[in-house]
Amino acid sequence: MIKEHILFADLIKGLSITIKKLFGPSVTLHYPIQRRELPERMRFLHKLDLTPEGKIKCIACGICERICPPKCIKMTRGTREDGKKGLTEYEIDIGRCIFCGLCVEVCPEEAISMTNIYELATYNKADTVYTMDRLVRDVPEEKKAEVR
Amino acid sequence: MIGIEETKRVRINMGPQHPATHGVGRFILTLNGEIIEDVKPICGYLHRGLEKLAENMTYQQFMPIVDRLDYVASMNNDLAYCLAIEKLLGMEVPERAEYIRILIAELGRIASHLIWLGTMALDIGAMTPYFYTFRDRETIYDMFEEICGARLMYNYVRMGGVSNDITPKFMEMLKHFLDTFPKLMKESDGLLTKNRIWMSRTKDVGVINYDDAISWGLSGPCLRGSGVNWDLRKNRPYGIYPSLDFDIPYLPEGDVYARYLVRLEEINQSVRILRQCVEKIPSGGDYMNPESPFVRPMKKPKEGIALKDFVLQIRGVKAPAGEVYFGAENPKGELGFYIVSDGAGKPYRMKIRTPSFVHVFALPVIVKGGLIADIVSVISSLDFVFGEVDR
Repeated sequence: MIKEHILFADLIKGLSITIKKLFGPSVTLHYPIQRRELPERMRFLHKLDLTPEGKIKCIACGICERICPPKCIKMTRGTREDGKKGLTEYEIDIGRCIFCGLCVEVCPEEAISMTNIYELATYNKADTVYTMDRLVRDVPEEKKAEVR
Repeated sequence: MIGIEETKRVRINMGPQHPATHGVGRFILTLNGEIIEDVKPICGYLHRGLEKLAENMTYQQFMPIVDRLDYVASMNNDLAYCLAIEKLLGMEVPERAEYIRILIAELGRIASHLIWLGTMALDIGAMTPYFYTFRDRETIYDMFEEICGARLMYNYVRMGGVSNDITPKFMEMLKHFLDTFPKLMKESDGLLTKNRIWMSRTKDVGVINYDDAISWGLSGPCLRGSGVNWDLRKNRPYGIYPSLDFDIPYLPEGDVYARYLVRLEEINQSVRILRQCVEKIPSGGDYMNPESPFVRPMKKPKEGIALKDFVLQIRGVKAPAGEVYFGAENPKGELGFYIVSDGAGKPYRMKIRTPSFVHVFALPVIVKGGLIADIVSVISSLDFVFGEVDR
């Protein structure tokens, strides 16, 4: 113990670790230029899925609206343009959403899913409310940056 | 004129916006020169009323909210909550799910201890370990991202299992982590443990003895740093912990340095548990009890969806009337859920016993008579998070 104190062994050991790190590879990413590859299960912006015929899968059962813990989903049922009863309006307030993924889990029709679009900041508060026309879109891989 | 003997007492507010209070904690210090005469912790700046919220939510709906208790170890909070509900409902968990739960709980423990190590070093004045620990923690968060899709608020554990199966990529990442992490941990260890400045800032500082630690209700590493051999994983075992081989580190000194060494050793023990789990985990099988009422409708065969599934999701799973307490060993200490059920789908009352709340109010006993420079290292060594203190 005393020997270590006189020889500065503790400080030399610490310094050698930091100096080694000086020449090591970088562990950080230069964010806007470099982007991480995100896993498939990423829970970010919602998406309303379509059937192969191009219709909304949602049957307006309202289960996602009821289970949502911060109550950020609002849906309206009514008569649609084609005369059938069903979903007419659907909106998610991303500003309130906590991205827990319960709405995706409880959906009996697998009509709602989550994408890995994570850049959701806006200049206007009104833009945080995603209405049906912004949620119903199969976002292609290269256009993900545009959806903000 | 004020003489040298009769100094004036000064009151100082530490916080609520002080980087070393780990959140929005406020401490009113009464100082006599440099000696601390009294500390009054004040909580409530992050109060969200979680216990009241629980009364108006189904058991399933409250899951994401539990993540917000101790937001650096969300996985462990999820697990503790689910185990409490399972105890209330008397539910079985498949073997594979049990192993997945231990994997994520121990990874969560390592991640939480890494944050503690980095911020404690930063508070005391050593900045370098902060970067090293956050680099290692990042690899753990990448693993969690792979299995559940979130970085901090996981919402992964479910009553009766886990929400998604682990992927082969996760196991690869985990094996790589177990190979590299012990070496990387030696960097922080080499920078701090024997360092003379570190030792003089932590040794014989903030001492709490064996009896005080028990009577003030400390738990977790803070209790074990005072020489009490008490760990809920051994003493009131849950899950598959009894079948795993690990030691409980404890040191009799009761100072900041002892708590530091205990936590470092706990990281090593967690790595040991993880290694055993990776060997023993069954390669196939259910990750969720198929008979659990919490299974989501879309997981069932299409013909099986009935009106009662909708009702179950909206009104909640009816738990038998009664009360249950379950405490789990979290990185910070004992996290307990006391649930009173009146037979409805929502709890009648939920009391959450959080370790940080107890640790904050034991602070006056620990720092009284100490120097003002030491309070920062004591606060760091108790490792509380204000999300848990205020609930």
